[in-house]
Amino acid sequence: MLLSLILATPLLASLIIIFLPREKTTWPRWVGLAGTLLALALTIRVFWMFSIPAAGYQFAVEKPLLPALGIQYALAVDGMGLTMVLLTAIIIFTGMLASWDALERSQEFFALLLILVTGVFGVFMARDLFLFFLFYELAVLPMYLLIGIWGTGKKEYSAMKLTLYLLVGSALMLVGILGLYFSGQDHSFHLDAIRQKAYTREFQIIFFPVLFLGFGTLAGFWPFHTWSPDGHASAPTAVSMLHAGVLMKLGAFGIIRVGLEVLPAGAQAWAPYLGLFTLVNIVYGALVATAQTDLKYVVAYSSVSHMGIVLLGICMLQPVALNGAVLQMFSHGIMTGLFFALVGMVYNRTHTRNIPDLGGLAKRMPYLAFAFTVGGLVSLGLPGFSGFVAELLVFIGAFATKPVLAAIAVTGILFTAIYVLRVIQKIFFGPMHPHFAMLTDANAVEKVCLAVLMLVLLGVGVYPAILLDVIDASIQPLHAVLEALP
Amino acid sequence: MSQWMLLLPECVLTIFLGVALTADLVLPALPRRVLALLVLLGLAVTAACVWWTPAGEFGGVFLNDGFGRFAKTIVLAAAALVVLCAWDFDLVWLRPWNEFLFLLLASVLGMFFIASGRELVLLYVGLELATFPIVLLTAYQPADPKSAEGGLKFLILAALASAVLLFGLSLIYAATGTTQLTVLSERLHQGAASSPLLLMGLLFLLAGLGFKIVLAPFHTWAPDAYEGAPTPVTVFMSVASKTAGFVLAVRILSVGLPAVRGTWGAVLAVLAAVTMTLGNLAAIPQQNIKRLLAYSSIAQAGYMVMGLVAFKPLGLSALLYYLAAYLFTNVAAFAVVIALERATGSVEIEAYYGLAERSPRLALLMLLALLSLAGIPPLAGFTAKFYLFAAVYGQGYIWLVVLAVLNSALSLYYYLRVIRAIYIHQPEENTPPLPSTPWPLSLVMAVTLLGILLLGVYPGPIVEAARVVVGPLWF
Repeated sequence: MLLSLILATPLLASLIIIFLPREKTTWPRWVGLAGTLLALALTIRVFWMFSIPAAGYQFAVEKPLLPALGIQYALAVDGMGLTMVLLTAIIIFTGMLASWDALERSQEFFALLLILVTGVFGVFMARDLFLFFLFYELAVLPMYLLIGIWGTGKKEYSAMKLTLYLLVGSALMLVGILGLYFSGQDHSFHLDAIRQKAYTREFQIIFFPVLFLGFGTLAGFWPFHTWSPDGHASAPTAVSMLHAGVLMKLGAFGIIRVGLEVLPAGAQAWAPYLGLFTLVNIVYGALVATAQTDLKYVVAYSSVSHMGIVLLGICMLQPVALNGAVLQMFSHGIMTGLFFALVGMVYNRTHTRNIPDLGGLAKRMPYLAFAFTVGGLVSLGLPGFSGFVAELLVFIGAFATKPVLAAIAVTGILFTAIYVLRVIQKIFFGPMHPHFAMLTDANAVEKVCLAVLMLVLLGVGVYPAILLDVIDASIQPLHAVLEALP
Repeated sequence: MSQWMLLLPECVLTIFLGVALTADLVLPALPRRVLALLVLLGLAVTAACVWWTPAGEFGGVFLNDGFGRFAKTIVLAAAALVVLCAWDFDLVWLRPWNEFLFLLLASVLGMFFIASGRELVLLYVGLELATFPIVLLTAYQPADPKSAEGGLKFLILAALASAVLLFGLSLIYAATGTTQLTVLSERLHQGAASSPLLLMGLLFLLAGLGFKIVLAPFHTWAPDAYEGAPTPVTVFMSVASKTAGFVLAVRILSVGLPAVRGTWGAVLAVLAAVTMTLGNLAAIPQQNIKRLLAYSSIAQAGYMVMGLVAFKPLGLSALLYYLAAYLFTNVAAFAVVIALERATGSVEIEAYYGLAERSPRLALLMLLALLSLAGIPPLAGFTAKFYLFAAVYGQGYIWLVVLAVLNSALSLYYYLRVIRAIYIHQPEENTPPLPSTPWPLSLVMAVTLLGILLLGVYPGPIVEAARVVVGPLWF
């Protein structure tokens, strides 16, 4: 019931926004804020009530939707799903704050944003693959309009590219899902029923890569990542936050939920090869980020690199690395949300994102500089913040299984440090351009937005067990499945 | 006597058809609104009769069954929506309103005989009755050369297609010695299936059907006819004619010729693949929204043929569901086209620039209709496609499903072009504000919007109905 409420809250807010009078441009943001705050409160309540010793799926809701085809409205969360729901709730709440001043066609903007979030919540909760797919597409499509209308730069190109890439990805997913559905005797889309089917090893080896590539496209898996830097760079602030922060996690989440849990033998056969590609993600993403001059492209390529760490952790098929991967999904989500919020705030003031044109901004906006530094330190994995714990776990797991891969992957961290420190030094320190002298620091709304994100990063960094215990509750059963493989 | 009762819906329809034709003669001053309401009433009474009339068959020729009822309901709904769409539209026409209604109802009557036909000659006659009024309606704006061109092209190719189809049917008759579908099916099972005459007949039949349901490479008439026809007629063509064509195909192929399913299934699978790919590729460069929707509907026909390929019973029930979803979706899209055509006189995509700011409601409906056509959740088109693709996948045509889902992604490209014009482009300078939509058209929009959403999120009842009615097709 609680899960249905979390799902219904943004949808309802979106419907209310559609029916608001058009001339009241500030009303939609209040409705949106109320809706997302309520969703966040409900999520925290679920998080509180989640029983770690019980593990498994909790808060289940099931209603038949199309019994003839074995489709049901089935929601439930396990530790991993819950972590992702929490991430989504935090990002959309802060995203609302970050786009507080987005008043151009605000009604459509906030309505679309909230529909997108409904889709994201749905994917993380769905226990039925039809529902999973439905919510997945619901989360992808509003992106076209959000980037196309409110974006910057070559927005129409980016929006179309992103949409077509992701839909081709979802086409692969659909083929994979139908394959899972029709194999064997009992036809059901329920994940519990699907997991009970004993798929043959041959079947798994054929279908795992189909699903992996379908989900991997959304997770920014190299070489299918090229939609993501363009998309992130062109999108308006809140959309970049959601997109890099949450949407890319849908892909990684899908790989674990559908790929690993349902087709473990396929994963075992393919993971060593796919792991090589994730190295490209990590190292190449970081290298390209160092070469960028557009601030948003730096952050966008850093997402490709960090998502590589998530995918590497998944490909290790090892409990420590998997725990790290899921924690990295959360940590990177919050961190990149913080980055994109900051980039948006800086851009709103300076009207440029070109790094050489910026400089010395810390004198005028110390709060933004501080927050950016925090984000940067998380990004390069400084102990005390969540990114350190997550990446450490992934690398520990990786060294245990594939030491050579791990050694190469760690070099990515080095490049990350280079571009992060270079960017911070360049835009916030050094001599200030005289025409920036009139700029102001963050206002109250922006401060709250950034503070929430920074506190989460710090809190998880200091006391990672608050999330890791929850995540581990869902990784252990998966580990048992992987262990049982021949 | 009781058998004659089975013809009740057709009789009622014929009475109202006569009323539509002669009302002007008796009461010359009859307002057009009254006539339209009368016809709508006629359609409603017919619908009631369709469901009230008991199931049964008549001389081995005419059959009243659930499948026929389902199809008739879709056709009636399409006709009613078209009447509402045309309500204010024909002010620009030179032709009288009663002729329009008469021809529309005549076509519906033909579709009724297709839906109930159980015998090749009756099916053929029904098809002719359904097609030729639409040919006339296509050329309904003689002042517009495109309308005349479209009508002429349609006429010639429809006649050609009929000849091909009839030739195919006559060869099938020659091979089996019967025109009754059930007897035909039995004789084929007893061993007539391998006759070369039958194979020839089947190929001609498929070509003729290909014209009717607009499959590549027999599709070339459709874009011109769709573009030239007055838009409400285009709506009728794209929804009702398509439904009738598929019902005809189901009756002849699935009921009459299941014994040679291997042959026609393979041919149709290839035609489906070619049609959807060609339709989607050809739609990409279109600048005229009617042509764009024409090519889109060719692609949609390609998807629907997959339902025939997937055969019974899942495939056919998916096809019926798809037809129902397509009814609401396509009529919704065309309703917006009509509203803009009334207001601006243009059917070019440029007329849609900035529609989101000029009329948020029209923009939203068009957005939902186009996304539903592309198969995006939670809209009717998504559920229909999911169901259909699942059914085809279940029959082992995995390559066809892969192609179809890739095609769906491709189709989104041109649907998004229209959406971009509506939402992202700024309106051009000095665009006059849109006049308010007349109530009949608003009613169409409300009904179709409801249909798109309801069939998308709550598919249960219609899916169940579709499954129930296709069950007894094979007795």
